[in-house]
Amino acid sequence: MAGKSKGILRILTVVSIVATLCVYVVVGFSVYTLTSSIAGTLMDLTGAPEELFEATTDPAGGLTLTLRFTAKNPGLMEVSAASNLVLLSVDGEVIVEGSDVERIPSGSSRELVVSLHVSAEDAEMFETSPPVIRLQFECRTLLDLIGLAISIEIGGEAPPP
Amino acid sequence: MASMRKIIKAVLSAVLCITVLVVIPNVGLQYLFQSIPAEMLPFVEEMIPLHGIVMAMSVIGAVLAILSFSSNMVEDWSPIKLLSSIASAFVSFYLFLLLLGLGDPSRMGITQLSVEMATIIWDFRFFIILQLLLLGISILSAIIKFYLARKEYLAGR
Repeated sequence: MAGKSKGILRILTVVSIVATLCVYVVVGFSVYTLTSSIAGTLMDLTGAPEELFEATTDPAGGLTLTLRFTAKNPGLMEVSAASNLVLLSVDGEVIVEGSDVERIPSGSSRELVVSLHVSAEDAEMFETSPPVIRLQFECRTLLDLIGLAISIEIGGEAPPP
Repeated sequence: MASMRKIIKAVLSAVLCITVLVVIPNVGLQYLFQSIPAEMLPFVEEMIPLHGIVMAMSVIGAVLAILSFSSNMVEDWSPIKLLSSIASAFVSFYLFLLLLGLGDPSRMGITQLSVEMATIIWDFRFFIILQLLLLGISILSAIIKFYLARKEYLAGR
């Protein structure tokens, strides 16, 4: 009985040490992957913000706003990158919303495209009260179990033409 | 009476705790504050309560050093050893929660930082679950170790 318990104790000790080390290594790899992906992508976003948005007007007066940017993954693990774009009224009411998700293997990049269609009535309203643009960029790794997101709100400013 | 080897082991383990959790974080904080521009300091402090985190780490380091010292000074069959091991496991778990929550353990792995018009959110709940499993394994291991040592001690009396 004592021999069996000693064996279990030895296994538990080894499992505990290996599991602790694994947790810390995985935490390190994941944090590095997430922060490098977010930072790498945001560097490009801040570099050329005017090229991010593309607005086209249809004959009926409606507006199509397209957000296009390249998400990078210089990290060590695959990430799932998601972008979410929301146009809010000054009261905080969601006018229109869209998102795109891409899986990016380690060391590569993918383009994320979000298209929003704004009706002619709303587009006309934007001239008097510009919408709040909320852009959220999220990266998840380790089978999407952990994630890091950044959300930016540009309040009351009209999107670049 | 504790042997010399036991005393050295207890002192070394306590010194290691103090070095890792008290000395290094405090020196690192001083170095960080010297290396970043002075006008950035209020901004950094507003985002992350670095002083609070380092202070909490120092207190936890002192507590872990005391627990480690007392645990190493007594025999394996002593209830003090069992209690110290269990308390150390809980304190270590609390430290993990504190670090992942950037100074607020109640966030349980989901932390949100607001900087002017941007918000950063991280979701590390999975690591909390893993750490809870490790806590369970540590406690189980301490109980089995105590049970075996106690049995051997009682048989030999």
